[in-house]
Amino acid sequence: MTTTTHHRWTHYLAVWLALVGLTALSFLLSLTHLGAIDTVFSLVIAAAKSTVVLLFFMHLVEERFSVAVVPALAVGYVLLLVALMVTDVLSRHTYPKTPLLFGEDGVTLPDPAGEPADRF
Amino acid sequence: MSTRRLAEQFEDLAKQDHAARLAMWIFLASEILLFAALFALYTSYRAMYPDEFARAAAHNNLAIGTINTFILITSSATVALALWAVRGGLQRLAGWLLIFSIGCGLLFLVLKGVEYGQHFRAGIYPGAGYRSAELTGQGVVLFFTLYFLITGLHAFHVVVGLAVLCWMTAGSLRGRFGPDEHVRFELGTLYWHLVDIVWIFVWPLLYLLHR
Repeated sequence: MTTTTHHRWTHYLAVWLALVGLTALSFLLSLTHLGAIDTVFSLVIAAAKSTVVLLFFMHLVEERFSVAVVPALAVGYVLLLVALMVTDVLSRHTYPKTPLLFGEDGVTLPDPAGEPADRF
Repeated sequence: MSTRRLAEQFEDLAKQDHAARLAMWIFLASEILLFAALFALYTSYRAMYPDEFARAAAHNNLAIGTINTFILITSSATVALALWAVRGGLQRLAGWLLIFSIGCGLLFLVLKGVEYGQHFRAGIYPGAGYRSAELTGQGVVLFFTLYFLITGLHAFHVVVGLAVLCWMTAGSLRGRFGPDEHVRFELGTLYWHLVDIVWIFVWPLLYLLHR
């Protein structure tokens, strides 16, 4: 906040209403059973909501570049990390596709004697 | 008039304030990266077990998750209004807005506790403690382990944020902040907004999956 902009209180009310509206939209979209694409919609809405919070509640819109570049870099690293990890997982060609760390119930360890040695 | 102390390494208060804000944003960036590691784990395991993740997420209490989203958004708005009030010299109003925000934060934690209780009664625990007979599978256990890690770490941040808000409330009601003395107050509000932003992503990923 290098500039000393002093908004009216209705400015924050409008931002709050926008956030409530986006949340309601995300909730209603999730009820329409769009399938896999609804994750994309809900994440786009979540990104829009956090941008609104960052810009107006956290006043990043009034901030100097040297400060704004810090969260921008963090977001860039998050995208890079998630993208590379998902690329890794989806491009693996192993059998079985998922590691058998646990038995079928997901908790107990499989019997080591019954497991083939070359399961990866 | 301003009674703020200028530390000797700074030429003027504007530079001191800029340094304080820059440091806070670097800290917030490190918090974003902390949660990003968990979200990246979530994404890769979800890519491995898409169906089991959807099945497990459907077991979460959508009503509680959605109400908590509205609660945190509202508390973020009142915290932003409190900063507005401090900058306008309305310290008592800021104090009351913060008390409302603290109430929202406590309500959030109570609802989270109710949801954890529902999970524990269904035998849903993180990791090796998992013992639900109806909802089984490696992906399901991984989902709930990540669920408890992410929401637990987030709840810890809510608790820390509430402590910061209490400190800000006490300062506001005693008149320690003001139009010329609001940088520390402002940094406290930034932390609470970060807690809100993390939940904005937790909600669609853990509750809204393929409803």
